[in-house]
Amino acid sequence: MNLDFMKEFHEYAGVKTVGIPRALQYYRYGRLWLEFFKGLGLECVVSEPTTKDILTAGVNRSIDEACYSIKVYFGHVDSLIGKCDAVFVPRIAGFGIRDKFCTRFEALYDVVSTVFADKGIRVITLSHDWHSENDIEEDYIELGMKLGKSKKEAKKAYSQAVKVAQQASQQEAKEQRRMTVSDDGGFKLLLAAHPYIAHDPYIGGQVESFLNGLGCKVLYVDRANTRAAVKRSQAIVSTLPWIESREILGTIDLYKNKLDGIILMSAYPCCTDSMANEYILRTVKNIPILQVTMDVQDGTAGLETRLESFVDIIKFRESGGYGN
Amino acid sequence: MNKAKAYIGIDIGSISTKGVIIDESKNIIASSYLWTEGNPVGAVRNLLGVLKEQFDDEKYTIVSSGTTGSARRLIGAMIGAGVVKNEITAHAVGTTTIHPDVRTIFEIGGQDSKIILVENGIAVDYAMNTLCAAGTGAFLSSQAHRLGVEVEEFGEIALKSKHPTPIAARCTVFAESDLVHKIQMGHSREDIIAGLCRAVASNYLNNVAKGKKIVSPIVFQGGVSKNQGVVKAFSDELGVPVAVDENGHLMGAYGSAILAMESRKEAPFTFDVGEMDFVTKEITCGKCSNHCEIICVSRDGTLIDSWGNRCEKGEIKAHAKK
Repeated sequence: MNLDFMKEFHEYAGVKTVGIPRALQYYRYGRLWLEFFKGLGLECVVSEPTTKDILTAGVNRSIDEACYSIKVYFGHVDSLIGKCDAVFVPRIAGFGIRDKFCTRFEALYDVVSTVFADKGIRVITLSHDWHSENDIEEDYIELGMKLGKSKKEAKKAYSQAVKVAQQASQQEAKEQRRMTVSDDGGFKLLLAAHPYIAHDPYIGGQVESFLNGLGCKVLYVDRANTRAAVKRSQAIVSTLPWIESREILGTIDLYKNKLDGIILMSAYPCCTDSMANEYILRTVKNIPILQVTMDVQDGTAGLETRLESFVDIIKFRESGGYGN
Repeated sequence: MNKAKAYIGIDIGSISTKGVIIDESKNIIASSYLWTEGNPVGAVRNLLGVLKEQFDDEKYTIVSSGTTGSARRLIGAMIGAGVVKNEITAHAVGTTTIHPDVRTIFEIGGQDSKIILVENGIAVDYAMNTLCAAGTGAFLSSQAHRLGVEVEEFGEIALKSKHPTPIAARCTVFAESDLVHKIQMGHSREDIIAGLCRAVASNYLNNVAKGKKIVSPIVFQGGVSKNQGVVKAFSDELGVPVAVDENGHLMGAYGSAILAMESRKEAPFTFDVGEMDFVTKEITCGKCSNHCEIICVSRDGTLIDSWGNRCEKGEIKAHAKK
């Protein structure tokens, strides 16, 4: 019996092109998502890297109290309107009580659906709660089935996507490991920030090129051995609820003998960082720390002043003098 | 015939512009301090005029120059400075040269405030206000305006107070509404002004200096250090004396002159820079949706520098400078 007509009745029928906002968890799971949708035979459109226009569009869609990163996310959703059949807005809240993302991630699907209701965009999601009993794989398979694929097809696409994403991040981790052990001079600075801050070219992306210009090397939290980092963090503090804060804290501990400095970069206002960074500032000793808060602002002069003087201070500290 | 070498440092802040000329033994041989008034190019022109009068060109010749402060790039391009350095480094270098035993430097300027920690004469850590200008000189100026007194008189008035009024100074907006409320409640002007000075000190200690180990001797500088009320509030709060150098406001410029000297980059310098025609123009780059605002500086009609571009697409102008 031909059951092809049944495909017309699945929940996300008619979605051929999926729009993916290049923001928030894209910087964590983007590769997996692209590979997964590709494996399901769908087209993906990723929004362009953040620009001023994207940010402005996002600010116009947000309430004041939303954090910088949410404003950026809205801008990316906005830029995908008309370019895809549906925007993929995941709702990945975490994996356990000490393994959560910020609450805003939990609300993301509902907030985006509401904020963009007047635009009539279609939003597809994947929902995984921190208290879910199932493995997230099942949620991906469910998403695949909602998109009209069989369970088997979805499962295959997911495991392939996991493999590709893992390979890519292992490669990055390998390169970073090489950087941490190399001893060709140049300060090693850890950009201790959420991946969506550190890798967004409009936010933390400026930091690496500027610091490279000063002869420094930039290390990232998500390119460290994150599993080992999380384990370290558990030994340091048992109650911290957020995954990414744990990764930052644990990476600092993993790298503590290799680093010349730490740049704690946050979006304004960030609720998880407001607690976690405070803890880091009070407990990490003997490594210079620069705290930078990024807000919806133009111009990079303030940031450059801070980075340049931070590097100077490290230089003075290590050479024990102001000699040029 | 052989003239002694001298070095000039200029610190162009948002509120004031400072210039210092030193000799080879790091003695100040000329100095000046004036308001920027939103016109850094004009302020530096005037500054150079004043310095030229103090400068003995029979005896010395300026061989190197440095700039610091928020307009350091602009002015650096204008005078052809050998060293363009951020103000934190410049302050640290300047202050530790004059006070080699200093351990903590407080600095409150017009727009920002910072703390620099020093060990063995070397700056080892610092922090700067991260977001807003609460508790800086600009905040005090706007409150002085509201109270109808000159900000320069603040310190003297504050010292007369016996019971400083508590004022919430975490945020300029809240401080202002709190201030209005206290005025209406009938608190005396001295008490309110002393309260404001305290608020500046405690705001600084709770924000900028948060988590930093403050070790004596402490040197306090920046425009706000001229305010005796704030100096007293700091020493009351910390229980140790807080020193203010009479040249404290010049430390950035002084440090910049020392950096110029130590760089050993010698280049001809002329005071007559003021007579050349400087034009700064803002161009909005249209190459992508970032719309970077690129600042182009030209001298006598020739482009000498440009900046402000986030990516290489906007760099074309900068290449044209040669």
